[in-house]
Amino acid sequence: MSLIVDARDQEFCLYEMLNIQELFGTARYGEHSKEMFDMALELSRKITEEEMLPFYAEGDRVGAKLENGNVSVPECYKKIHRLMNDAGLFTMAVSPEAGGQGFPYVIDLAAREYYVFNMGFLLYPEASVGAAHLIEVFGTEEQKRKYMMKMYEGKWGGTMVLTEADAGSDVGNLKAKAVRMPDGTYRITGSKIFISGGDSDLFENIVHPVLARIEGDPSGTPGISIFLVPKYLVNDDGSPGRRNDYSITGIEHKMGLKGSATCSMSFGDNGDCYAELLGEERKGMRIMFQMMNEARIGMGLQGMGTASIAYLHALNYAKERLQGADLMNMQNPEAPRVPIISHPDVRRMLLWMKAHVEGMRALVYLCALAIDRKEAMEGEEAARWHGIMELLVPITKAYCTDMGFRVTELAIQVYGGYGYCQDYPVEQFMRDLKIASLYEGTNGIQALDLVGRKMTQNKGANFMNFLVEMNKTVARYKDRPGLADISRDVQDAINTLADMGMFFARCGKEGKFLVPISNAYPFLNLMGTICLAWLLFWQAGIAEEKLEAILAKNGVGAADKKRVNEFLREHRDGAFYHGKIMTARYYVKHVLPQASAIARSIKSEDLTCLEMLDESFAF
Amino acid sequence: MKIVVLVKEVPDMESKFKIVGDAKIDESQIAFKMNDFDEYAVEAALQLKEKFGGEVVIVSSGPDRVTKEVRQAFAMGADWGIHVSDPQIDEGDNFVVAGALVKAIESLGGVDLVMTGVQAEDDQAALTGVFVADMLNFSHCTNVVKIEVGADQKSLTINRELEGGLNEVLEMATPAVLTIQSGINQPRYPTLPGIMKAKKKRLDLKKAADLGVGAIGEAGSKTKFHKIFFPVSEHKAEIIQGDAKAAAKTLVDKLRNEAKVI
Ligand SMILES: Cc1cc2nc3c(=O)[nH]c(=O)nc-3n(C[C@H](O)[C@H](O)[C@H](O)COP(=O)(O)OP(=O)(O)OC[C@H]3O[C@@H](n4cnc5c(N)ncnc54)[C@H](O)[C@@H]3O)c2cc1C
Ligand SMILES: Cc1cc2nc3c(=O)[nH]c(=O)nc-3n(C[C@H](O)[C@H](O)[C@H](O)COP(=O)(O)OP(=O)(O)OC[C@H]3O[C@@H](n4cnc5c(N)ncnc54)[C@H](O)[C@@H]3O)c2cc1C
Repeated sequence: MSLIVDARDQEFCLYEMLNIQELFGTARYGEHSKEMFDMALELSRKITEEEMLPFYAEGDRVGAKLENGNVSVPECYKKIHRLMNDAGLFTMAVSPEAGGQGFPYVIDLAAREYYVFNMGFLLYPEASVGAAHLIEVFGTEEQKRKYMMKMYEGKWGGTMVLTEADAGSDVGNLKAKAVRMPDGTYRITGSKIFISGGDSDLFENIVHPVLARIEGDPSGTPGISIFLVPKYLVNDDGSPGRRNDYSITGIEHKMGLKGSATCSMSFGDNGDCYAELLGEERKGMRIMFQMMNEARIGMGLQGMGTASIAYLHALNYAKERLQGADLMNMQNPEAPRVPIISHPDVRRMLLWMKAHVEGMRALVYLCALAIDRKEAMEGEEAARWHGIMELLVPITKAYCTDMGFRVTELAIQVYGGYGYCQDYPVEQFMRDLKIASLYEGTNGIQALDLVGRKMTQNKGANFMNFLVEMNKTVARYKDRPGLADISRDVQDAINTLADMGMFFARCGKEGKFLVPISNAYPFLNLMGTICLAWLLFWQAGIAEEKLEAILAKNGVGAADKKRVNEFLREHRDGAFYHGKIMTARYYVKHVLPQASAIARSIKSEDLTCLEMLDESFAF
Repeated sequence: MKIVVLVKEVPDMESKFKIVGDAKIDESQIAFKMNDFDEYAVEAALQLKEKFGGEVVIVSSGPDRVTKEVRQAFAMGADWGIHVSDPQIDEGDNFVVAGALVKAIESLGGVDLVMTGVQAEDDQAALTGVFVADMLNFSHCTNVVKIEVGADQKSLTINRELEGGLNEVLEMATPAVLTIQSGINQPRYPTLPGIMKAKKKRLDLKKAADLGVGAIGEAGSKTKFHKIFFPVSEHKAEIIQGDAKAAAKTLVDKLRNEAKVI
């Protein structure tokens, strides 16, 4: 059993639930097959388990270092970077025309799920591929030739340079300035902070996409342009030229992600920071927006993937750690010590983790597949799911990173005092994951995006389509014998969500916009919870049908519980499907009820948090 | 050089093993993978090919699912393969399987080297390689931890691992069979481009009859299978307390009179 990803659940999600095999029927992916994907995922598993996981703690303890203006990464990053780069993993979803491997995005994510927990390392290659992708889509032919190819080859790095001290969530407030030169290039001045991989010794050269304002352009987001700033200028023959005029002025000392250098950068101190415009002038934000869906789904993956490795580690620990006697034997001091997985409270934690991990996995893959379908297929169905994906992106980003974090925190709880100590990996999972609720738009900003933009996007049709799909799932499985009661709970929850949608619309009409705005985050949680209930119920429906068939095939009567359990203990697939049904049931009975509590609090229209005086918070 | 690598599929040892009727393991509950030792053999063959050119051909016998392991070797860089697929061969013992593999190798019309793992992780018989050598009438070396090939591409200098950290250095000539010990190299990871190409590489399917394998099934086997069982671990241990001299005396007494082993 892998301690990183439950490969059986991954397979279930991809092939039995989402039917990604339908991609094989498209022109774009006609050459692909499940066997090929299995090999790719196996490669990712193997390389992560053998080459990355053993050095996970070392990357954290050594950390990135800044000396004489140059960043060095932990030495152990260099070999794994070379191995993964040679295997082609970083460019898995990049189009073959640009030198990539051309896999669907959903399989790229499934492969990344194995190693995404190690973001301290991964930010270097991922930011590089992200920057190269920007050039692929918006760059000139010359920029592609000059920069993109080497970046996709893994020889050169890339970053994403947005944030300034006064421009974090409010990117539009940025002050970095660009001046146009007679030859059409630009010179940049300004200071940036929090730039991941702003420098490193992994690459021969680094190309920074930098957001700045051309002198004279309007303030706010409409005046922002995006520029390419190479570390070393590139001569016409491709050889490196002079070192560009910017410097690394510091790196942050952080809670986690310690191997990743989070750099402060100062551009143009000598007035000669060379830059090339990427795309058109004043289109900087629009360009960033086009990359947004993938970037945010990627954050959801970080939350889900880190939760997955934390859960599987906790499960493994709970099966091995002996502590206390069985509940039925508590009074007897001589009773044998049992593995802590026998204790009800530990089982509760494990099941909570399992349910969230598996629900989030389905959500992340569902979004990724919607992107693949839109690219590979035509027609209304693909467009509809793409719209649902757009709606769900802020939830995928925020809900998966927040719940993923809670899963890592619970993993520490399962480990007891040991989990708090660095001899065990779970505390690092938690520290490394915390960042995900902050960068790529804080989760508070995601909630505003959901309430202020996504709910009404496409005239509200995306939201309506989402409700329709959820209702269809309930209708499909509601009469299954094992699911009747939870199907009613899920249906109630969907109705609650529909009602909240109408409630917010009414608030908008009545000018009570402060109610949705100040409740944006609770609402995101409500919708995330209902979304996961839907996905887990959908999975339970499939699992129930398959389990029924397995029992029938093996002549096991479903009524005889004892016999069924005996059989399932020895039957791998049977036990798996049983687990899916139990997981959905647990979630619906023990987590989903929170959604109606949130709905009640929002509908009270109570605005205490706004009425509270700043002066009254503390004394 | 033309090199054949014999690859076997084995259960992942972390699988749940369930015995049915004293005779078989319930394979439906098991995950399979390439025998680790064979993976070293694939890597060793690929390294020779990189140095001397030629081709690496994978030969594997087993049910349909073994194509997964053959494609894995393709993704690492092997050129093409033969899948010997016949339930009647699978039912036979190592001798039967070796006979079938030999027929497949002979169908290639002259090879320089045959390589395979020193043993399979599952039955640990360490027989297939030497059977194959004998049937082909090739010289062979087992437990190989180092291979050097002379400029003529015919003379081999081989290190063979012995007990106690010793190596035996042998000279031999091709054609030969080498059974590869773990640690000889670090098998490469497949690459994604390799995986994409693997799908299109040639994999010939051969039945016993296609290859002219005569002795199959139980009839062709040299061993007779009795039963399979989990050994029972009996936690029987007695610790003799007290003064060492007296305890030793008690121990000898017990070994002689109770256990009757001395
Ligand atoms: C380790 C790390 C790596 C990073 N990597 C990069 C990188 O590679 N490139 C890059 O450009 N940036 C990077 N960042 C910056 C990151 O994107 C910002 O930290 C993030 O956008 C938040 O901005 P801020 O830190 O200034 O917080 P602030 O904007 O000050 O936010 C503080 C709090 O106020 C809330 N808030 C702010 N405005 C509003 C509002 N209008 N309504 C409601 N709530 C609001 C936020 O949700 C948050 O809770 C990185 C940051 C870190 C810590
Ligand atoms: C920083 C630190 C400081 C400490 N300081 C001290 C100190 O000064 N003095 C001292 O004596 N000790 C100290 N401890 C030890 C601390 O009190 C123990 O770690 C704690 O009691 C938990 O025990 P454990 O770590 O063995 O976890 P375990 O007992 O193995 O628990 C693991 C998990 O199983 C659960 N579990 C265990 N048994 C049951 C049960 N019967 N029913 C339900 N759930 C169960 C637990 O709730 C937990 O989630 C310290 C620990 C740390 C990490």
